[in-house]
Parts: sequence; structure tokens; C-alpha cells
Amino acid sequence: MSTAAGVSEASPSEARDGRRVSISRFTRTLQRPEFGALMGAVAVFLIFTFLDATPNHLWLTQIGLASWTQQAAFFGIMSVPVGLLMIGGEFDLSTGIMTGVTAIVMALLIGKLHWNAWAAIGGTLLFATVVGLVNGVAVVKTKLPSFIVTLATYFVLRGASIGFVLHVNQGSTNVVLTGANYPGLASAKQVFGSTFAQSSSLPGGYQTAVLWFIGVTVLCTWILTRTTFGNWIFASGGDPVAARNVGVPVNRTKILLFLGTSWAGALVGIISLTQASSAVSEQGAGYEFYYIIAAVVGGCLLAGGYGSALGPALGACIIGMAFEGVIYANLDSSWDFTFLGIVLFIAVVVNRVFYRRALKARR
Amino acid sequence: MNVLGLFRGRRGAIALATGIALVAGSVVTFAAASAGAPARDLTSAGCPYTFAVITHGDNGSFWSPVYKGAKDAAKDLGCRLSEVYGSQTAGQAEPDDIAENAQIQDAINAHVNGIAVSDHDPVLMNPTIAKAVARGIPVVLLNAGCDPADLAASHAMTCVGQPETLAGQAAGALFKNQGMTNVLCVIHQSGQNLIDRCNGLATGLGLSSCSTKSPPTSGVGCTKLVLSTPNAASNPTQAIGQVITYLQAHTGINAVLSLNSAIGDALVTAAPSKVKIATFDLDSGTLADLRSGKMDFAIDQQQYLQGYLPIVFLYLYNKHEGNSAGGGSVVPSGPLLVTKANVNKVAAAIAAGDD
Amino acid sequence: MVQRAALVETRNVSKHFGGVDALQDVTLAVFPGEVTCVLGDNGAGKSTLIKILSGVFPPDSGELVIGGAPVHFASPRVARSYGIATVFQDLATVPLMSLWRNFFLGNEPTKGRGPFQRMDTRRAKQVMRDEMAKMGIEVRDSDQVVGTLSGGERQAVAIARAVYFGAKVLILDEPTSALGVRQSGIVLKYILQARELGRGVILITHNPHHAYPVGDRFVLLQRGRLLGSYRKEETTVEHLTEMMAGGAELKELSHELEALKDIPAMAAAARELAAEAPEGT
Repeated sequence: MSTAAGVSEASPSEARDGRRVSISRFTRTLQRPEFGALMGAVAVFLIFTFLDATPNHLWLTQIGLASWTQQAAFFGIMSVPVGLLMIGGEFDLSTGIMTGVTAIVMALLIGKLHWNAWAAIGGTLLFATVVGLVNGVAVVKTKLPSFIVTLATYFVLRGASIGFVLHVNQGSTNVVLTGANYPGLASAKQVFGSTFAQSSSLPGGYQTAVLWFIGVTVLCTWILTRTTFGNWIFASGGDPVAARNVGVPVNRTKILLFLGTSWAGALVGIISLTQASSAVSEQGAGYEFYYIIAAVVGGCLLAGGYGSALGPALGACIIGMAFEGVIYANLDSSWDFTFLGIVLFIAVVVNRVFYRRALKARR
Repeated sequence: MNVLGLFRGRRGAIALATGIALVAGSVVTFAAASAGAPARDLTSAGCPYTFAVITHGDNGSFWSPVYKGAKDAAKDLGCRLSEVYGSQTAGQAEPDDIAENAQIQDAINAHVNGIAVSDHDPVLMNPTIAKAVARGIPVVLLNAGCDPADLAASHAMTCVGQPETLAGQAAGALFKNQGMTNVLCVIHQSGQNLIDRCNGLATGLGLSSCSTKSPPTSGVGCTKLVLSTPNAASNPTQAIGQVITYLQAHTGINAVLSLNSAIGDALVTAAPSKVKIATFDLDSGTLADLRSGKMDFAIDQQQYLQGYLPIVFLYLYNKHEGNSAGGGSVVPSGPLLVTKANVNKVAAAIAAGDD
Repeated sequence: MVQRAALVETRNVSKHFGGVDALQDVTLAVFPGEVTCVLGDNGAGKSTLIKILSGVFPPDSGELVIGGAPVHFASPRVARSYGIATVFQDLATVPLMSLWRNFFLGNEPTKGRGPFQRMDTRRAKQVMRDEMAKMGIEVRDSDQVVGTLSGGERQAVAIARAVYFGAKVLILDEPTSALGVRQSGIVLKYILQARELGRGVILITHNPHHAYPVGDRFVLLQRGRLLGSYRKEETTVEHLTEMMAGGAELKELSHELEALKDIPAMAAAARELAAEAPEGT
């Protein structure tokens, strides 16, 4: 007398039957939200392996790996927190411009106010905290769609990145740290903007940003799946009213998620500045949609309540592979847009299929 | 002889009144006749004219000297600028040619004494420019539209700019001189002017065009690479990832020409040392790289002159009826090739925003 | 006769909104191990009553009494701390989250300290399975999402959760309204289960056929007023139905139709109505 597969009323015969079918590990893996993204990433990697037109098949070498992981890291450090925010039911369109504005803030603190680089990093994080709080509090208090609120933040920041910089930077939109004597900058560069694992086959090494990318992904996976806060993220996005009814602090959860995306933006800005020793007005603007694409490709539902942290990371890898793979394939680099469009479409369809399977009663 | 004495008495009064009436009448008639044409006050000193400066520029480090040049010229001469407009200053990703064209029309309607304009889309803008000229408003092109065919079609007085092909040619010639003949031309944004630069580069190297196919493994070559990462000009560090990858895939390339100073700065830090880097336009990072020798050379468009000279030409045209500079062809503001040898001289000008 | 203390009572509770009397002078009580059904049609004031009991807002007059002592709920959280758990019809569980996550939502068990504090997933899954078994449900896959369960089963999760987390009184808001016949039967069974476990249940419904089998006491509301308050032995399903349907009004309508009996069809209808209206109203 079972009411639905998976949940049955224990009638005497069944209890003796011991019909407790455990779902196979394989099926369970298939039903995880990031599975589609993993398949996609593997497929994209194989496609570019096949299309590689370089004489030394560089795609499969460390050189190839270093090139796309570098791009993936820049997309990925942001995509993962953006994915978490999406699971929590909100959007942040100020993420792109934040990566640039934070680089500018740090450059100005070091170059104009002559702060030690590490103090400047603290100042940059403080700035990001303010922006994150403004976004979060505005969204929960006004109850306006976060799309609109963060779009306003985006415009304010973008305008400031031009006007303010022109004002303090002698009419130039390039904030450049020329000269060698900036206290703390060398050590900051070592931690954020350097390379590692140089070898004879890869003299340039991999970018340290890749390590930060992995770290952010691991941290966010842990938060989402293992902690109480992670449970609250799923609930806030899945059904905020039900969540409030059982005492989940939905507003506080969302504000913290907005702080997360702003801090990630600051991390990217710090990495960018220590790498290049310069920052440009309007840097980062336009990237916000790529972060959202990575999250959707990674299996996060646009409506919220479902997804993972690994998914957006894999989505970012797909994007990184697309931008570099077309160069190895000697294709016109504009093909990567067509490519991304196709990947996005397929990923959404695949995720839809797996999502429905996850919701179906299972044997 | 006492002139005023001639007007004594009743006959004098009538004569004076008639004279005043005649003069007043002429002035009124003259003013009425000139209602269609822009008002010109020929009698005062200084610059009683109003000019409009309309460009496709943004707020970046390239266009700021242009705007400053125009404003400095107006200040030096005493002229008034009704506007200094850039169609990309509101943060658009690309210039808005339709908006710029509408701005030209507005200037015509406002009866300015002259228009300095960047002819970013000749097909769209030349008819509007021709309308201005037909109404007696002199036009000087700046920065874009300096191609001889476009210039002739626009009926503008002249074009102050750096003919893109000419600048590319100079770069190509210098590379050839140095023996760096397998060159990659990096295009970071859409625009015919950038394509023209690469074509000029090919000419300077002795080739017919710059191709998108694979470069030769050795010998002379000009290859174009169009960057596709989002907003490449504003995100140089990420954009050049594609350039570095390209260089790794095609090791025969020994020189890269960047068409934007931010991209050039980023390339200098990341490219392999055996590859020479040159760039269009300069910023403070470029200056440092030139001094240290990490950057081979930079092409200074001297865009300050592209702002300054048009105002001077428009002023002279208005003041000395029809002094038409340029002779119907381009007045080049550049290129000035900046290398380690002459960088310090240029640096001073750049620091003042006067380059 | 030993008088057990009621778990929670409302004594002469009233609430007005603008010019409308949502509740007037309503008194009810629920005792441990008993189900009190609150019956009434739409607009009877049931949802206002729930909100007062669960602490959303206070009554304008009258008092709430717990264990014999008057209380004041400043917020739903205070009401919960007194052991009053409200299970709303649609808004009790998050469909996209798994059973164990839903079960422990807001009360997540943790292990470890500081930055390494994490949810005790194994214990959570075990406890959830045990509690659901007490409700008579065997859970095969703890990671199954709630969205795969039927409506009745979702209610069961919410009820099991409330019971586990120490609710002394369960308020169920129209739990069967959106369910089919069999699902409703299942939910009623879970209600009885909770009653067996010694909890008090306030069952809000407009369906006397669902209320009667499980109820011990019945309170009828009409337009904010108490129409009647009965123990099970004092009433029947028909009695409750008639009270709710407004038997008096039906009788009046049939009299009016009688006056028109010149028209044969009307007369026939009038006779039918008269037969339907119970005696003695």
C-alpha cells in the first residue's frame, strides 16, 4: 500500500519484504545539478582537442591548460558566488563593474594616497562591504526585484569609474602604478597576481588566480552543502515564505549573499591590479551576464532554490575553454560567441531534463 | 574742420536725421539679409564666434587630449564652444553614430559659426555635413573621415587627423628596418579605422594586405587577430590571453602591433621577450615601458592637435573671409614615432595633457 | 472529576479590522491528546483566529490562556517558543529541497565548532526517518526532494516536523482542502497519530465530513461569531453540516418560494426545499 515510490506506509507485508530499494550511486550522480555541466565541460574539451590546429597540439599540453584555466579563473571566481546568490533567489548585475571598480579603488589608494598595498587591500574589501550592504539592504527593504536594484548600483559605479577617475587622475582613465617603490605591492603580487609551477614545458607557469578559483569553489561548496547557512540559502530561494514560517532568517541570508558577490568582485579586482599594476575605467562592465550564463550552464535554476557551487565553476571552465579554444583551432575568434550560444542552449535543455528526473518519484 | 558744425541749423538736423536713418536702415536690411546666414560681427576684435565640437569619442585617455586641445584653442583665441560632444561619453560600448549625426544637425539648427566633427560614419554623416556647408557653416573634420575620398565627399574644408594607413605604414616601415617582419596586428574593437591601420602596416612591410589566415612560419607576414573577450579595450589583462595563446600557437611571429595603449601595456608584461611590442597611442604606462626598452615604439597621433587645429582653422575662415586651410586635403597631426630616444620630450607634453 | 488544564484557550477573543468585526467573543479550548475542530464557511473568521493563536497579531479584547495562565504573543517566534506550531496548507515545505533538509529547516543539528561547524547530516537523516516512521511512513531515500511527494505526504512531513520539535499544540490550516479523497484520508490518519502522541490539535476546516471522524470538540464560526460549541457526543455530521449551511436561512427561503406556489414549477421546487430543510429550525 505505497502512496508514492520512495515513501511507503509500512504495512506488515512490506516490512517483512524489506523492500527498501536504495538508489544506486550512479543514478544519484546523474541527478546532481552539476552533472550536466560536467558532461558539457568534458564535451567542450574534447571538441577543442579535435579542432586543435597547432603544430604541437598545444591544447593538450600544459600551455593549453594554462591558457584556458587563466580565463576560467577570472570568470569562475565570480560565477560561483553569483550562482549561490541565484540559488538564494536573487540576481546581482553590479558584479562585472565591481571587479573593475575595486581594482581602481586599490590603485588609487596605493598610487594617490600612498597606502601600503595590504592596507589598500583592506580598504578595497571595506569598499566592497559597503556596496554589498547597499545592494542587500536595498533589495530586502524595498522588496524591488534585485535585477533592478543592482542595475542601479551598476550604473552608479560605472559612472563613478569614469567621472571620479578623470577627476583625480589628471584627466586619464588609466590608473597606472608606474615606478617600483610601492610598499607591500611586491608581496601582494606574490599572493594574488603571480604565477606558479613554472617548468621547462611551461616557462610562464599557471596564474595564482587559478588557485584562488579552486579555493573559492571549495569554500562555497562546503558552505552550500554542509552548513546551516547553506540550508538557508536553498530555502530562501526555494520558498521564502515557507522558510520564514519555520524561522529561517531569509533577509539576513540574502544580505550575506550580496556581501559574498561583492567580496568576490573585490578579490578579482585585487588579483587584476596586482597582475597588471594598472586599472582602467569601466573595467569589468559587461561581464555580469557571463557570470549568470556560467551559473545557468552549471545547473542553477534562474528561479532559485536549486543548484550547486561546482556547477558554475564548470560553466566558467566552459567559457574559458571557448575563448581560448577558438584560437588554437585557428578559427575566427568571433566563433566563440556562436559556440557559447549553442553550449548555453544545450546546457539549459540538459539541466531541465535532469531537473525533471530529480523531481520525479523514483523506484 | 568741425564736422559737427556741418549739421548746425535746420538743414543740418535733417541731414543728420537722414544719415542716421540711412545707417540704421542699412544695418536693419543687412541683418535681415543675413537672417539665413550665420550672424557675423565683423567689427569686434578677438573671436566673436561660436563653434561646435562633435566627436565619436569617449572619456578615455585618448580623447581627453582632443577635448582639451579644442578648449585650449578656444581659450587662446577667445572663441566660444557651444559644446564638446562625444557619442561614447555616456559609457556605451561603441560609438553611437546616429546620435552623433543628430548632434551635427542640432548644431546646424543652432546657427553656429563652424563645426569641428569626427566623420566616424561617412556614409551617414557626409550628407549632414554637406548641408552645413551649403548653409555657409564651415566644417573641419577631425580624427576620422580623413580618407581623401571621404573628405572630398563631405565638402569639408580639411581633415586634421592621422591617416590610419599612413600611421600603419610608418609602423610597418620601422619594423622592417629592425628586421622584425612577421607582424601580428591586434584588433580590439570594431571600426574601419583599426582595419585601415593594419592595412597600412602591411603596406609598410611591403605586402598588399594584412590577412586573417595563419602567419608564415618565417619571412614577411602581416596577420590580423580580432579579440573576442568582452569589452577587450576595458579589460586588457583578460583580452591579451587570446594574444598570448596565438603567439604560442604561431611561434614564427616576432612582432606585435597593438592598436590601443592599454592593450599594449598589458602585452609588454605578458608577451615572450623575443617578440617586439609596439602600440598606437600612449599613456603613462607606455612612457615607462618606452624608457625601459620593453616597448619598441609607440605611434603618437598627437590627438591634442586634432582638437586644437580645427578651432584655429574655423576661426581663420570666419575672421578672414574664406581662409581655407588644408587645400581640400588632410592636415596630418601625426604620426610621431616615439622611441626610447625621444620619449622624454613627448612625456612632458603628455603630462600636461597637451599631446 | 479531575479537570485537565487546557493546552491553549481563547477566552472571549475579539478582533476588528476597520469597520469589520473579524472575530467577536470567541471562546475555544484544546486539551492534550484531543482534536478541536474549528468549522466555518469562507469569511467565518478562521484565518483571523489562526493568526491570533500563532502570534501574528494580538486580539483586541479577550485573552489567550496557556496552561491556565494568560499570555501575550509579541511575535510568531514567541508563540513557537510556547510550543504552538502552525502548519499552513501550501507553505510548510520547500519543494526543491530534500526530505531531511526540510525536516530540519530552521533547526539544523550541527557538530564541530567555529568555522568548521557543519550540519550533522547523518544524524539528521536518521532522525527524520525515525520520526516519519512514527507517523507510519517508511522513507526509502532521505535525499528525495519533497516535490516528489504527494500533497498528503508533504503535510505529513510538516506535521512530523512540528511534533518532533516539541510542539504541544498543532494548528492545521485547511490541510485537506486541496487534496483528493484518498490523500485527505491519509492526512486525517496523521492527525490521529499526532493525537496518539499526546499533542493537542486545532483543525481548521470547512468540511464537516473530514472534521467529524477525528474531532473531539467542535467549534462553529459564522461571520466572526461563535455559532456553537459541542463535544463529539453532542453532535453528528448532519448536525454540523446543517449548522454550517445555515439551516435557518434555507427554511426562510422555502417559505418565500411557497408564497409563489401559483407557478407549478416553483411550487414543486418549494416542496423540495421544504423537504430538505430539517425539522425544528
